[in-house]
Amino acid sequence: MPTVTFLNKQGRVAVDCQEGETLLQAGLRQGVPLPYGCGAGVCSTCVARARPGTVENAWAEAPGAENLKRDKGECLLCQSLVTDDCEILVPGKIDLAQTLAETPAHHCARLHDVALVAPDVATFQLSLEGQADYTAGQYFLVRLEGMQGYRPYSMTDFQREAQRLNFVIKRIPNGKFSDEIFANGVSEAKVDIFGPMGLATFDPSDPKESRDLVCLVGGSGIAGIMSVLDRAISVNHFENHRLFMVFGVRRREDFFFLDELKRIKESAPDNVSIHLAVSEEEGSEELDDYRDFPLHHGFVHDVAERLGDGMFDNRLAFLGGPPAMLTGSLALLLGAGLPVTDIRYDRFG
Amino acid sequence: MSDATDTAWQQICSATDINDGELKRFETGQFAVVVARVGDEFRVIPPFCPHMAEPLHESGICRGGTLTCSKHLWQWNLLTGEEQGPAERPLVFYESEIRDGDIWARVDQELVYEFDEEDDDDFEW
Repeated sequence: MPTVTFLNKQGRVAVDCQEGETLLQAGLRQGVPLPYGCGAGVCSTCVARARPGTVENAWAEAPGAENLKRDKGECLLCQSLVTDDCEILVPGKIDLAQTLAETPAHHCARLHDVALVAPDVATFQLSLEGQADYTAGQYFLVRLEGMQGYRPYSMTDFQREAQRLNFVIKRIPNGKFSDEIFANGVSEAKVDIFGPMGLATFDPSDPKESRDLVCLVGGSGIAGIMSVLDRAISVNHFENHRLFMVFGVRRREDFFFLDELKRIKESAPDNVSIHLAVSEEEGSEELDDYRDFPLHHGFVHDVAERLGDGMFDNRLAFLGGPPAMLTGSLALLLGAGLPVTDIRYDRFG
Repeated sequence: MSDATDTAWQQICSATDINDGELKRFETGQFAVVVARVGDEFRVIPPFCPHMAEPLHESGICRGGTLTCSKHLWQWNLLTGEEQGPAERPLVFYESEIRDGDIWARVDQELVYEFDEEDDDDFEW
């Protein structure tokens, strides 16, 4: 089994790397506090350097690899495999001698209970051979058996000692996993998963997070936010704190999880304010059965800006959705004076 | 003010081309720059984030005098270039000034961020 040595100015640490495991997975699994975001080749947070030729690139076309200086040995830890011992230079000021309090792990799981909940969105479950704990807002990397590469999926609820994890998946043209679900109708499959991962988390037992919340979400980006909200109502968070949320999709028919949002609204009607937005349809007539959720026309961040005067002060913000929505929402919240440390999101797209 | 005949200086754009809080990319002939506006102040900077070379005219958000790269949330004081929050390198500026309502900058030499760590040389390839 190869030994990988991560090093930087602050120190060095050596770990084992299992066959087929990425350098990021090897490091995180053994508690090394490596920088990462998506874990799936998109965000480029895990850029590091190896001696040219010592690591194998699992996905040469990864979006996050676009700006790599390969002549200098730059690589994405989440897409790098090794067969021999190697040294990896980790940029930045991370103290490699520190150990992660909670470490992700590999699991075998079975995918099942696929259900279409909107024209381009399905839910699915993964039953684990063991069990897993995670923090609200985290995700697992999921790989169908026989398929190369992992994709990140956020859990849509909050559980401890979970044996059955709940997710949503969006139809993506030419997406390998997505095609298996939407085009090929796969309803049962063996999967490898790795996790939990992700830093866009919510822990209401931490006094610093005992705050009002704002959630700005688009489409399937609502997944991790549902986990945050599930965690919140599990401790009656909205009895004493407010929620301002805008959930946007393209057309009315694209909405899903509205019954779940209704449950959150009903948990504390006076403190929970949930708005819906459609970007491609005019009109503002509320949806039947969901008249507590005002319907607006426009993009999520634009609707939030119109409605949100004074809604963002001192709140903890959670974002989820496509890149343009994230950037627009980030600009809105920064402009409203929120510090970046109070704005949490994953960049999967 | 610089010598108006100094050929190292180029007119980049009109001050009215940039709204408050906006970042815009311009070509100087040899390389690109980004012009940022904070109130009545302007800064001319390299077009890439000092962190991982994201194009700042796309990833940058300028609010209240703070520049945020939305990719990994590095931040800087846009008037001083000083790092804020998780940023680990300062922003660098081209020398610039306003002449008759236009933004001019000294662009005889391209400013490039040094992405290598100081001790990279110890890590022999």
